Amino acid sequence: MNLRNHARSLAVGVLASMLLVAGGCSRGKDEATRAVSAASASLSAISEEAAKYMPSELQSVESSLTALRENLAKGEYKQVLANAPALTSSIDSLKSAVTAKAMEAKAAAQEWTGLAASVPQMVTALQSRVDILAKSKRYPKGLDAKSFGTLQSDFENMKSDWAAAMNASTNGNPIDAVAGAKSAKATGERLLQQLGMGAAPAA
Amino acid sequence: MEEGQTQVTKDNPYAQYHVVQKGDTLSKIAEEYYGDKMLYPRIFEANRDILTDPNKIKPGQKLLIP
Repeated sequence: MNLRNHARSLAVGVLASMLLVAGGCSRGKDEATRAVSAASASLSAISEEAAKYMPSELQSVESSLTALRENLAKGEYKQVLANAPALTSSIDSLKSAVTAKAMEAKAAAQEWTGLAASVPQMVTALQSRVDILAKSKRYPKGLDAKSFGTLQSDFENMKSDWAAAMNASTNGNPIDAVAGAKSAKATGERLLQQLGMGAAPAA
Repeated sequence: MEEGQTQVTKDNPYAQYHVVQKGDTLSKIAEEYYGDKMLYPRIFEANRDILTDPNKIKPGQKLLIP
C-alpha cells in the first residue's frame, strides 16, 4: 500500500468514526429528548389533581423534571438517560397516590353530606340543654359543677372542630372536612350520653 | 323563651323526649332533667303546640325536653 492509499484509508476510517460518533450522539439526543417529552407529558396529565392533593410531592417531581430538562439543554444526554427511569418511577408513584387521594376525596364528599346535616342538629340540641343547665341552680342526677364545667369546655371544642370542618369544606377540602366533622360528632355523642340525652340516631 | 336562646325543635333527631307518667308535673320533670324545678317554663314553652296550661299535663303525652 503506497502512502496515498494509506492516507486515504486513514481518512475514510476517521470519517467513519466521526459518523459513528455523530450517529451515536444523534441517537442519544433523540432518546434523551423522547424521555424528557414522555416525562413532561405524564406529569402534565396529573399535575392539576396533584397540585390539589399532593402539592409538595408534585413540587419535588417537578424539580427533578426541571433538572432533566437542564441536562438535555446542556447536551448531557447520558445524564438524562440515566436519570429518566427514576423520574418516570416518581411520576408513576405520584399518579397512584393522587388517584387514591382523589377517590378518598370523592368518598369524603359523599360522607360530608350526611355529616353536614346531622352535626348542626346535634350542636343545636346540646346548645339548648347547656344553656338551660347553665342557668340551673342545681344539676340533674349524674352531673355536678365540676363535670358540667368540663362538659361546657368539651362542647366549645366540639363547636371549634365543627367550624374548622365547615371551613375545610368551603375551601374544597372534603377529606379534612370529614375528619373535623367526625371528631365533632364523636364529642357530641359523648356529651349527649353524659347529659342523659340518649344515643345518637343513625346518620 | 329567652332572647338568644337556642331552640331545639321536634324535627331535630337529637331532641330528647319525656312521656308523661301518672303523677308527673312539669316541675317534677324539670327537676329530673335540669336539676331545678323552677325551670319548668322551658319545657312548657317548648311544648306549646300540645300544652295550654303548665298545670295540665296528661299521662301519655310526649314532651320535648329542650
